[in-house]
Amino acid sequence: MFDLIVIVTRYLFVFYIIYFLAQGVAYIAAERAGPQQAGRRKQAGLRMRAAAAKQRVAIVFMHLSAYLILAYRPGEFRFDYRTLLVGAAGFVFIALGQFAAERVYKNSCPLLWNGVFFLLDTGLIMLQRITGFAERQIVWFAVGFTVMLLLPFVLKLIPRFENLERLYLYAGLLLLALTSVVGVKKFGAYHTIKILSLNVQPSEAVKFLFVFYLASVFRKQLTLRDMLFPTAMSAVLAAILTYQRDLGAALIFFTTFMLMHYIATGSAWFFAAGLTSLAAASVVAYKIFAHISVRITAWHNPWSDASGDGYQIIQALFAIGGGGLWGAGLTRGALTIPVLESDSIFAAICEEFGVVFGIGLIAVFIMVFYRGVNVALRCKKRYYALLAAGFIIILAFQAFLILGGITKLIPLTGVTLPFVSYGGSSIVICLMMAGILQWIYGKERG
Amino acid sequence: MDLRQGKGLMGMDEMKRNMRRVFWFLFILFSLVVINLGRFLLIESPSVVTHPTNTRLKTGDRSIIRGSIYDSAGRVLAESEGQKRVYPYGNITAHVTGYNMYGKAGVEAKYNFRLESLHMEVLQRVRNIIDGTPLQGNSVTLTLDAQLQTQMHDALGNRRGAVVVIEPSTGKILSMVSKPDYNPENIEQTWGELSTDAERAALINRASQGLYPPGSIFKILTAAAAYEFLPNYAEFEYECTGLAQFGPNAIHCVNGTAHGRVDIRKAFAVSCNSFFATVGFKIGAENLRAVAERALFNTAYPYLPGLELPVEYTRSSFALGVSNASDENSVPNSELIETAIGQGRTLATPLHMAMLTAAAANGGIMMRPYMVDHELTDTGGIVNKSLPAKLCAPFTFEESEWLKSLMVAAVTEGTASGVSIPGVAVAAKTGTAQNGSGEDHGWFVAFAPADKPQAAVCVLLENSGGARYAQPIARQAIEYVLALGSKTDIQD
Repeated sequence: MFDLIVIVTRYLFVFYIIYFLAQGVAYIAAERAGPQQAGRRKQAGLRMRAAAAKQRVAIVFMHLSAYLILAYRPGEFRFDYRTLLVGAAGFVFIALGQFAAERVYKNSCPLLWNGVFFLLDTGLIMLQRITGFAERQIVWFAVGFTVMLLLPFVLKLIPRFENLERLYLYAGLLLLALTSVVGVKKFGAYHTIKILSLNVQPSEAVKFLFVFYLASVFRKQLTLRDMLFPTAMSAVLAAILTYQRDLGAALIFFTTFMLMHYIATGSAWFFAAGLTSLAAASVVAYKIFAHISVRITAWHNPWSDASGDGYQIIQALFAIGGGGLWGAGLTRGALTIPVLESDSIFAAICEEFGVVFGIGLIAVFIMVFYRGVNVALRCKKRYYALLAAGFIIILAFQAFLILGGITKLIPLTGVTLPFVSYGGSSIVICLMMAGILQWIYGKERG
Repeated sequence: MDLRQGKGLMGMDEMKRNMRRVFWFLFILFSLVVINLGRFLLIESPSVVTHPTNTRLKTGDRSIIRGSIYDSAGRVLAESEGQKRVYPYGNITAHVTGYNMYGKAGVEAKYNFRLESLHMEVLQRVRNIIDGTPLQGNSVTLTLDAQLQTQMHDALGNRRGAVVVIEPSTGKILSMVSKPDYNPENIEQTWGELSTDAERAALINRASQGLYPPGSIFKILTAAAAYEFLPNYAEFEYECTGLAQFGPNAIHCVNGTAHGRVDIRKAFAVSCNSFFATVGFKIGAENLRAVAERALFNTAYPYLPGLELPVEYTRSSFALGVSNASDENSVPNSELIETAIGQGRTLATPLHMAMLTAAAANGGIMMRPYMVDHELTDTGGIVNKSLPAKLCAPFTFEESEWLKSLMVAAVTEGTASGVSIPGVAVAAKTGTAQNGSGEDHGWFVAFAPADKPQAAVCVLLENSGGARYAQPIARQAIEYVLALGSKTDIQD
């Protein structure tokens, strides 16, 4: 009986995500129709609020359905209280979090909040499948949210924070240098430091600082000579990260720099030159660094070392292929992939919820990023536009790196899937980025 | 550009245009992920998930009854009785069904997911709850004929070797036998011995995995190359003295027999090595390679993705060093002349040679070989029906007709007379493969009737000294298929 319920609910989850996306489309349609017909402005506003409310209902239903399944113990005909408790905590977070966020961030965009909450909740449900992770993730949600809610007050305290570019840069470099000295090795990379038994990845915080730095630099008029220093500094950051074997982060910094440079200057030749030098650097790195050539080989032909270097990607492919279009059903996946809670979480989602849901999740990401670009596009201040664009680029590219990596489109680099993966620093920083986007949205509106 | 000239800040509108472009760039990246995911799921995943290291194979759902495996007439080849898997034909179909333990093999491995998949899972589970109907996985119906399989298994006796019987017009595999074999029911008790005895190698499916020098049956390809690349192939005559000298290298005819004056037809019929070595030398290595590779040497058989053969297979290899034979004055490449008569380093599987024979029988078209005809659902419905598909065309139609006439002559006036059946035109070729491990391997390929082929057969007998023991086995297969054909004709 329970198996039957699990199998039927597979379609329910697909329905939730499609409904969620459809309401997102309805929201955007109403928003676009609004300004053209002055008389209907109010009506469009109502339609938008209705669509956002329906999205929230979809999240709540998804959360409840998932936790009822997760908590049920089929052999014993009872529910597991601990799981139910985590589910309830998650529910409170969804309900209160959104309420508080919309109070603190005046005039924020509900579509963006909903997208973020959908991703957070999907991650939480998946983490509940691995003992202990969901509980800690809830704690991180609380921490991240608190920081995010404090952010507007902090920003208010600092006058003209666009002038602090050197501060961002040196703080970032210091953090990375610190990791090199006291870092602990995790998954073959030295990018984690231990604080009070918690693993923290400083490179996550550096991402945040890096966008502030680049936005501060690019807001001004730049000659080629002015460009030298930021370019060199960005290269230094990427080099330190490569040295620390945090390839994913190095690639993210590089791409963010190139794309923000393109936005600020429109110079396509610089972008092309950047790509060329990246290609050249990759070839050199492939030849010199063993840990890079291993990853390329594992991507190109994982079967050559199926139990070693190719293990993770092969297990991910088994999971995705085993789940098929509609998934094996929540709780029915084999979940044999290593680093399930972070790198591989998308493959696990595909295994249990199916590839249709997985593609839906990618669509939710696209929706969030579309919204973020909208925030950037409506800015009047150059600095804010750059800041918003920077955060979108960094989040989107990171999501692409891991989504493409775990599906064998590109070599796998161990980065987290924003908002979905477990990981303290990752969740906190992602929420801070979302907060900044909403802050800019509210500030530059009207 | 404004950067270098320091023209001043870029306008907001331009910057926003750039932002839109960047967004589209990111959007394209995400689209690539989605496309790749869909491509993987539809095209690659069916063969990926069957990989032996997939532990999902071992942690199957215990409440689901694993589906059965049937032959083309519905005879049971494998079925589940409780937790036990029984194989009524035991050793006879061992290499086809494979075993359901120790990583699995054969159909049991390649169709593992399908055998434990529930058709209309929701419906089955509802019925299971209402009236306790067991959850039944899909069954698989093969193209194999268990009677023919039994005959071929018996005919091989204690010899090591393989038999493959293919229906040329469709590519259906009617029989695939490999010896030594094992009993899949006792695999647990015998595993230690089976997996360690490398000399017997009973777990290897010799029909599809065994690589042997093709010997004289490779002359089919050398003849085809002569047809294509030697303008006077039909008139060319050669005085065979039982020995052909190429610089320091010599090619001998079997037993040193001098065949006298032969043209290509006669030489093919009597399998004259000297003639074909000479012709091969004239053809040149590159041309010979082109013909061999068109016939899928050096190619992992390009089966339609997800529809590949449910048995483990190895690709045949055409190995020949860079040739200097195009230069008339150069020293002949000893490897080229050896390869032209099927020796040298070129290796082929019996399955591949059966496919090649079937292509010659089928107007030059090689059909995709297949062994699973369809799947049966719990209620007896047919799903995933396989349809015949063209794999490649090694020969043109005229070329195949000409090859056919050569192969018929080999039966009527040559070395393959052992396969002749009264009233039926049979086309065939013998082969004797010298090898490093003792006695020569005997090869025999045949198809019949020549004008409307119903069966193509390949028999390989390890260390049997020659093709003479293989010929009666091929004849038996052909007689069986023809008798079956006439029986169904009457019923029609």
